[in-house]
Amino acid sequence: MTCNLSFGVRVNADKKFISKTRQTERILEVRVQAPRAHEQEKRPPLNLAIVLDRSGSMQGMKLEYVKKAASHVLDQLTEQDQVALVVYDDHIQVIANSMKVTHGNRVEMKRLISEITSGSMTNLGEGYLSGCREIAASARQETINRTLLLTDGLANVGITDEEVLAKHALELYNESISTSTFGVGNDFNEHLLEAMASRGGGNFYYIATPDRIPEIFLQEFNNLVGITARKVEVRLDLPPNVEWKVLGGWPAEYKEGRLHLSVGDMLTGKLQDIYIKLQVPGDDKTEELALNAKAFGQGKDSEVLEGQAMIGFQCTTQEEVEAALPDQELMQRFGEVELADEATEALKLERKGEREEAERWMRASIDRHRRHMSASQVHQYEDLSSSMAAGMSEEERKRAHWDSYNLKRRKENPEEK
Amino acid sequence: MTAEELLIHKLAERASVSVRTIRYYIEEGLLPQPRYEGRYSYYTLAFLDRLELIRRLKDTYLPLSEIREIMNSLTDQEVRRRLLQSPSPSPKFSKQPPAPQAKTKPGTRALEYIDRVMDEQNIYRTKGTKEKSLPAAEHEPHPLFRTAIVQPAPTPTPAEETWQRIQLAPGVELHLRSPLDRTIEKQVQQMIYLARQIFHK
Repeated sequence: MTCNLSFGVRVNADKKFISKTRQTERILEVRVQAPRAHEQEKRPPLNLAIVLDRSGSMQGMKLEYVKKAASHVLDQLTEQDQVALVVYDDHIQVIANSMKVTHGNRVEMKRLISEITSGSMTNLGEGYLSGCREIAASARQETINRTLLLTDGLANVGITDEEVLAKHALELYNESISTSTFGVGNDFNEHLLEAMASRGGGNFYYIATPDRIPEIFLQEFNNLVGITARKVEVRLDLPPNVEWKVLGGWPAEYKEGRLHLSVGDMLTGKLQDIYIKLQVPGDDKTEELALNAKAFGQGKDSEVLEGQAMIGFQCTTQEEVEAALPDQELMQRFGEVELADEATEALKLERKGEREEAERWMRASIDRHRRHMSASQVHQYEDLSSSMAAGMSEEERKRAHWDSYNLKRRKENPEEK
Repeated sequence: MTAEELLIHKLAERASVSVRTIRYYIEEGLLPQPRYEGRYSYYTLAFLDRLELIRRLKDTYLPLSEIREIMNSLTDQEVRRRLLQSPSPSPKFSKQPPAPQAKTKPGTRALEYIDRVMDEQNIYRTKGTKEKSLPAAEHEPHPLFRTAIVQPAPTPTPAEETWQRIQLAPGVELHLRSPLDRTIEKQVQQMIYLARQIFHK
C-alpha cells in the first residue's frame, strides 16, 4: 500500500511475539484501502430498489417525509440508472417495476409516490425480498445494485426472525445485491436493521426525526455514487488450531485454512480497519508463524482489484511475550471497536430487561480497556452503564446503539487522508 | 479421550463448520453440553449427526428458536433415524458451484434465490382454516412455535370482512380485522412482540 490512490491491504498486530508454551492472545488489525476516484470520472450506474414501510404507524409526517425523500432520490438519478419502488404493509405492492430513470418515468414515478397512503401491519421481510427481486431482474455487470429498506416498526408478519432476514441479506450480497437499512423513530428493531445492513454489505442509518429522512437518503446516495471497490473480501491464511473472533459485526467464514472476511462495498479513499482476536496455541516446535492476507475487490469497470500483505510472529518464551510492549495506538483503535461491540451486546441485554446484567457486562468491558482509553471515553461509557442499570428509553437505546455502530465500523476513521 | 470422542477442532473440521459455530450452538442450546475434562471438551460422534440435522433445518429457513425446539426433543437415535429417513435436500443455492461470471447474467442466481425463499414462505400460507404441516414436521409431528400468517381467501365477496390470523404458538391464535385502527394496530404490534418473548422462552 504505497500510494493512497490504489487498492491495498495491510496487517498489523499488537505484538509480534507468540509464546511457545502457552496459548497467546494476539490482536490483528486488517487495514483495507479503497482506491480514490478521479474527479472527472463518471459515477457508476445505480440499480436501486426503494422499499418503503407504509404500515399504519407511518401515517402522518413520517410518510410525508418518506415520500419527499423518495422523490428527492429520483431527482438525483439519470437515464443511466434504474429504480424500482416497493411499498409494504401486510401486503406487498410493487408500485413501479425496475425502470430507467428517463424524464417521463421520473414524472410518473413521482406521481405514484404522491399517491402512497398508509395501511396496516408490517411485512418487512417480503417487502424487502420484493425490492431485491426487482433489482436482481435488472442487474447488469457494471451496476451497483442496492435495496434501500426503510421502516419505522417491527417486522410482525411473514418472515420476522432476525437471523433469517440477515441470512437472506448475506446470500443476496453474495449475489451482488447489497442492502442498506433506515430505521425511523423509536419503534423499529435496531439490531435487526443493523444485522441486515452489515450482512448485506451496505449501511445502517438511524433517523431520529422524520424531517431528517431526505437528508439521510441523500447521504446514502452519495455513499453509493462514491463506491470505487465492490464486494471487497479479505482472505487471511490461518492454521486450523488458531481460534479467531472478528469484531465489529463483519461477516466472516472459515473455509479450507482461510478466514474470509466480507468488507462490502467501499467508498472512494476509505481506509477500513477490521480487528480480529486470535488465540494461538503454544507450540515449542515452531520458530515463526507467518500469516498471509489477500484482499480482492471489483473496481468501477468490473476489473479485479487485488492486494496482499504478510505478518510474521516470532515464537519465543512466555517471559519475552509478556515483556514486549504492545503497539499502544493500535490497542487504542482496537479498544474503541471492542468496547463498541460489547456495548451493542449489553444494549441487547438491556432491551430484554436484563438491566443488571447489561450494566455488569459494560463495566467489566470498561475495566478491561481502561488502560487504553481516554478519561472522556471512560466517562461516556460509565454514563452508559448507569443508564443501562436505570433502564433506557427507546430513544436512548437507539442513540447508544447508533453511536456503537459507527464506532465499531469505524465510519469516521481519523487516519483517513 | 475415548476412541469415539473428538476435540472441538476435529469436530469442526469433520462437520465443515467453525469452532465458533459449535460454541454458539451450545450456548444457544441447539447442541447439548460436551464432556469437559480439564481445559478440553470432548464430543461424541453423535454431535456430527446433530450438526448435520441443524444444517438441514437451517436450510429450510427455520428460525434458531424452532430448530432448538426440534433438536432438544430428539434423542441421538432419533436424530440418526431422521437423517436416514429424509435424504439430503437438493443442493441449495449457496452450495452450487459458482457459474462463470461472463456466461450468467448478473442477478440470475439472486432471482432464483428470492423465488425459492418466497415459495418456501408460501408453504406456510394457506387459505381458510386448513393449515399444511411444516416441512420439518412432516415425518414426525412435533409442536413448533410458528408465527404463520394465513392470508384471507383471495376473492372475498365485497360484503365480507377481511381477517388476518396470526399463530403465536401451537393452539394460540390472534385474529385481526384489517385494516385496523391506527392506535390499535400499534398496541397489537406491542402485544405480538411481547407474546413472542413469552412463547419463545
